[in-house]
Amino acid sequence: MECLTFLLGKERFAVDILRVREIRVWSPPTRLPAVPAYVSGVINLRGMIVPILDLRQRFGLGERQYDANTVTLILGNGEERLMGLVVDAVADVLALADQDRVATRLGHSAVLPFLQYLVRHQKQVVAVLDVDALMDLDKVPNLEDGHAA
Amino acid sequence: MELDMDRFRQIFLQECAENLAVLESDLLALERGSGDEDCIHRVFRAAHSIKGGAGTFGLKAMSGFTHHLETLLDELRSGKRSIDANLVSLMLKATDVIAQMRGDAEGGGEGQSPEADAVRGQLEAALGMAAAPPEQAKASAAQGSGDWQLVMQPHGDILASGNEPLRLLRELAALGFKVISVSLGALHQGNYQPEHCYLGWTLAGPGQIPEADIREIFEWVEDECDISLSRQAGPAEAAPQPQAEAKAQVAEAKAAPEQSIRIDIRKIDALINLVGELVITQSMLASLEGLGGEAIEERFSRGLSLLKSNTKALQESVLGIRMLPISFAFNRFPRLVRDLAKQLGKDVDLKLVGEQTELDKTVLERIGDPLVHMVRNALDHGIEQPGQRRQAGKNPKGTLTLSACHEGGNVVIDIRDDGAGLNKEKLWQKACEKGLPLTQEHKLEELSDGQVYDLIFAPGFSTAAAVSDLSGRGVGMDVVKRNISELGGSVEIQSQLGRGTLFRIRLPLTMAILDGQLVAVGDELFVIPLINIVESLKVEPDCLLKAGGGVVFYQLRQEMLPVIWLAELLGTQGEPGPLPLLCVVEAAGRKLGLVVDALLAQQQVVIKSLEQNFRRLPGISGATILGDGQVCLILDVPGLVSRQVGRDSDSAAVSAA
Repeated sequence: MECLTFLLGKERFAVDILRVREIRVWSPPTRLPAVPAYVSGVINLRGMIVPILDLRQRFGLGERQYDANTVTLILGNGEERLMGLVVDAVADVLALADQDRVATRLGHSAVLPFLQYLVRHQKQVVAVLDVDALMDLDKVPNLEDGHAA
Repeated sequence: MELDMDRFRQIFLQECAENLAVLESDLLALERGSGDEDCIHRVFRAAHSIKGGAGTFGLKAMSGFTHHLETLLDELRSGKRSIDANLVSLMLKATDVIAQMRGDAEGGGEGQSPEADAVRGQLEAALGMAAAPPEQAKASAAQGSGDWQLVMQPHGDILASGNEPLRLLRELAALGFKVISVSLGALHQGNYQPEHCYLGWTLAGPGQIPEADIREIFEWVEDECDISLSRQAGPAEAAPQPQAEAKAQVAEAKAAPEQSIRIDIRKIDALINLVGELVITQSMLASLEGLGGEAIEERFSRGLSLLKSNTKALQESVLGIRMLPISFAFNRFPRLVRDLAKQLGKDVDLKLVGEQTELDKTVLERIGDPLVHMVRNALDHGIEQPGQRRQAGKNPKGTLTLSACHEGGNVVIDIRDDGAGLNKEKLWQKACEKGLPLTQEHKLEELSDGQVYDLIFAPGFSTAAAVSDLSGRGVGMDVVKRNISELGGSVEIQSQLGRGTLFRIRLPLTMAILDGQLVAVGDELFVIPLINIVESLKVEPDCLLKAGGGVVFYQLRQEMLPVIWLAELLGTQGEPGPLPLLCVVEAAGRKLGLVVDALLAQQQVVIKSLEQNFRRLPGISGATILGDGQVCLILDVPGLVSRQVGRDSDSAAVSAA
């Protein structure tokens, strides 16, 4: 499977490259009310309104100033739905082989629900993320209750 | 080849729907006696094309069934029998069956209907086909007496009429026929014409096939194909396979038909004209390239203003394509009203006004069900029995009027009956029994007529009321109201005891574009739909009244308005403006004050869905894109109002209007 890898802090993650629709430089989105802090807002992608999620915050990796390397990965699911993920920087494209999978169980972590598997690649371990889980809106709670009249 | 057939099948199904509509409306006209000479011919033609098309596309049950209806209509047409209410009822029932078959075929089925056999029996009885069973008996008696032999010789010019011997052969094969020999006819005589059909076929088929089924295949080509059908002595052959194959093909048909829209050709022409103009404007602007000096400035600004007006016209035109006349929604009512009135033993005249009023396809599709509900209510509870009406000195025949017209950027749909009207006291009593919040805080005398009538929209209002199998006035009216609110519309009730009731629905013309007021809250911008804004004013701190539990009211003249600080609700950042403004909005007859920091431009905005990629958010109805490419959220005023002052809210804040 060919994967696009990217960085969050010092860790390397990967997603199936076939699901990446576009890589954009970060630009400030329009904030949304009543959503968790890791939902940065929505942007205008050629006339479509696309939500942007900050992956650092979603994984509980702490905040970091956005800089010139900060990018938004626009991911698509099969059904024309799009979502953007803000990551620290994109790295290279790797061909990851299944036989290099690492069969270690991780402890409790915010990343775990989104993790497909770990792969060893040239002395490094890359976490391959499950795009469908990332795009699953049921995992994005509504904060409506806090705002209801 | 297969793909093409699929497309034609779709077209047939669409046309079939149109023909069914013709059947229904003209049958109703015939029953009323208002049908003209052409009426019966139109009905006949509609049935005829349904039958033919169904046959062509292998929907045998449908073509067979429609054949009976057609025969009946033919007798009417030729004056062999005269029309009466029972006959019309039967034919309408048959129309329903055909509609069910059509629905089944559209879903990829074989065009079956569960009621087909029952109604077919009634049709046969009406046709005096008591002879039908004996005929079948004869067929079965003949069974085993020998296989069929069929000689089929199409005329040379059969292809010119669009008929295809191959289709006949295929249908025969589906019955179990096999080709035994082919005669080449005049093919070898030279002088060959490629557009002529020369071939003839001799086929054999198992003896148990009813003769009628075989004849039916040739019904469409009677004058273009000679056939001779005879029984042959000899043992029946085993039933061959093709039947199963044919079935498999039908099952593969697409389950979900494509959505399409039929557009008035004039609209397309206008669009093409506009695009032409746009191209001219573009070349005019392009010609400025390379020019210098002052002349260019003037010509540039002229070109730009032309471009602006072109774009606007084009936008309106394109939106116009989605606009359909409301008759699409109204068409079902003549039949509905007729059937319901019969069922209820009432005499009701339905009047349709303004059927050509256009509105957006999406709105149109979603308003259908609420309208049906309200029409049912009007018939069931509004209009009285003829006897009661006579006693009250009214025309025993009730009138129900459905009308539509444009009013500003809205469509107004009226459902007016001349029935008994709403009884405020009874409504009130029922509301008290239900323990609706309004009844706990107010007395009947304190409320306006509108507020009392609005009780019927309260959820759960009538669940315990006498629920007939049709509806109770109030059964599901909360759903009606919600559907209309979701479309950005409102319902208003006027009623006079003994004189009738009027439901007035106001809907936006389209859901794609709205006039918006841009407001600033903190550092952020939002759009409030202009249609919801009543007025805007400076906040006078003295007029703010704080009640317990964080509820704040604003004393606006005689009214007490509940107030929401948008900055708080939306969690915006940035300093509040020095002069907060109160934007008074209204939805569903209830008012609410929204505190904003500044009012900016008013502009038309194109509504974009948040749900497409994300989901609905409380207080937000959608988003739009501003001139600089930024996304701007649109406030959901009806949602905010119903949350803050709606009856279904837990808060005690009931509009004190």
